[in-house]
Amino acid sequence: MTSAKLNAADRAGDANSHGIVEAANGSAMGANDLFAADFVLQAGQLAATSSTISVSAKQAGIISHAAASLKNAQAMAANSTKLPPGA
Amino acid sequence: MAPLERRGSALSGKGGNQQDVQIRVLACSVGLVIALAPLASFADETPGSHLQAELDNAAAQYALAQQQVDELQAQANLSAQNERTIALLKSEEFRVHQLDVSANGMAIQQIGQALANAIRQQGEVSARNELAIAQIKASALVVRADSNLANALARPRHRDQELAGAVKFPAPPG
Repeated sequence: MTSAKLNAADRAGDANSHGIVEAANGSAMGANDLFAADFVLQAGQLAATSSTISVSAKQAGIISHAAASLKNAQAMAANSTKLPPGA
Repeated sequence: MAPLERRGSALSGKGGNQQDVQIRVLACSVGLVIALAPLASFADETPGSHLQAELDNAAAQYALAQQQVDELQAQANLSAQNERTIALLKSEEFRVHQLDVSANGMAIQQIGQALANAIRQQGEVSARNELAIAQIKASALVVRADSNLANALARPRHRDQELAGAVKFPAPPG
């Protein structure tokens, strides 16, 4: 092989390997982006679930307090009907 | 009462003192009636009506609490949907970036491959050109050697010496 061909093959190999490295780097960065995308999706789902759970606890507190008040009033009313008149 | 009596007697005598006492008694009575007015209202309320009012109040509070729970649930649903939408938009952005980066890498690889092919073809052309130049130089040398040989053969004198010198290829020019 002549010197010109050797030199050209050397330079062509450099260019080709540079392209391969760039493609591999792009694929790696793309995989990183995909991982970040999945992570963000899961974080959003987790935040939504957390919001629902937090509100559920608050709802339970409010409704249980109101139900207890209602039961108390009902019990007091029922107790007053059992008492003899004038008691 | 003794100082007041003394003061009243000092101001207007015995009749004025009795009038002051009556005014004080009247003021105390009015104050007492005003202070005890709520008790009268409590006395008007029967125990049954109070318990019914408590029951109605508790039922109203329960309905209000249920309405509040519904509002909280709607707000939580909206918030969860908002979180999911934001996450989806961010995820889409990352995926678009991933596609861009991958496509860029592939494009650079293709460019590198095309450049390598061009460099190889250029090297091939250069090699052929150099070969052609070398062949031209070689043919020129052969022609020159042939002419020298023919010239030497044409001369009668010093034939052997010139023959011996003619077969030697001269040094290439340059």
